[in-house]
Amino acid sequence: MKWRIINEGRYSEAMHHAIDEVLIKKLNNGEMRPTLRFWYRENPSVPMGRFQSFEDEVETEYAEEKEIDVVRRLTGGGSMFAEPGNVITYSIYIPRDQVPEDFEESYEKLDRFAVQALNELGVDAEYAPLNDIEHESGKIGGAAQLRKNNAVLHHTTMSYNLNTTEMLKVLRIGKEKVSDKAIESAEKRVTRISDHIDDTREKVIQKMIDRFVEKKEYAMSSLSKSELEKAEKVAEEKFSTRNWNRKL
Amino acid sequence: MKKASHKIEDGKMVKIKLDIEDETVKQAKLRGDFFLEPPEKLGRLETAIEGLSVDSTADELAAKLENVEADLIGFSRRDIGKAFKKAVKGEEK
Repeated sequence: MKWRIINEGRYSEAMHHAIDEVLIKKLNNGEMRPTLRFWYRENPSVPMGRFQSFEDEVETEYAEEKEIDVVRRLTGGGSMFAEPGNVITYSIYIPRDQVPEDFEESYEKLDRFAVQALNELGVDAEYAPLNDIEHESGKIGGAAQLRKNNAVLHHTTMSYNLNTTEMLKVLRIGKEKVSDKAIESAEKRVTRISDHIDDTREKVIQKMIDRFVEKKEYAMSSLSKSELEKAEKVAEEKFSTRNWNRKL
Repeated sequence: MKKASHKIEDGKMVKIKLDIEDETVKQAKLRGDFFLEPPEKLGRLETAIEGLSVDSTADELAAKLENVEADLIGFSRRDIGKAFKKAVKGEEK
């Protein structure tokens, strides 16, 4: 099994989700090699869980005023806040028969390379069921999966140097019971890679790629013209529409 | 409209919204940070709740949801039942 590694391409939040949809479809149809792709964003954004209610999760007025793109994912799970350069996100597109059927096992296994990379750099991160990466001082990141017949999409976002104050303004974390205490504890629940090490984000990503490709055949790659064209269409018709993003 | 949230310890949040008429569920909505495979089954879970009496127990609702073939990940049919009971008791308006 030869892997395709993509570590480039700066796109809108909607476009990234469209790329996920196009690539997982291709893999499911046997038209693509298994792939690891790192994301580079253009704008601050909120990727929210597929089954979450838009109005429950997002401070809509604030998001609109600050031009924060809110995009409903293909995958379940919770909402997160992302800023260009301040988070690390990757997507893995992998044949289903390479992934444990047990969900917990599969999350642990697919994020293991990233956890190992963090450990080697000196961040005591570990997998925490069901879909989190944690440090004793808080949550570093989370993953989400979508299973197709023959393929699994697994994407993970970790905080490199996230502005948690801004995060609490755009996400409605515990806003039903607004109190300083609630906000303080939400802030405490999040920890960032940059709180623990001085390495650049670029270096952390490179370490993750090194761990991932170990004992694997692989080639560095870019998205093709046809993949990008398809994704642009999906971004326009789905992930940038209110119809999809605000449907629940 | 009655609604409730059920937070699973160290786990996911299941939110339910119910439209109730004549002590019967007319419409149900399930929301939360859970996972569901295949995701298209959310609507089937919601319609399975419709027509139930507000007196149904959490177990009765869970049994009805068993008819929907789907993997609930990070929550269970019984957790939906618990959210349902909270909502009909009107703990959260």
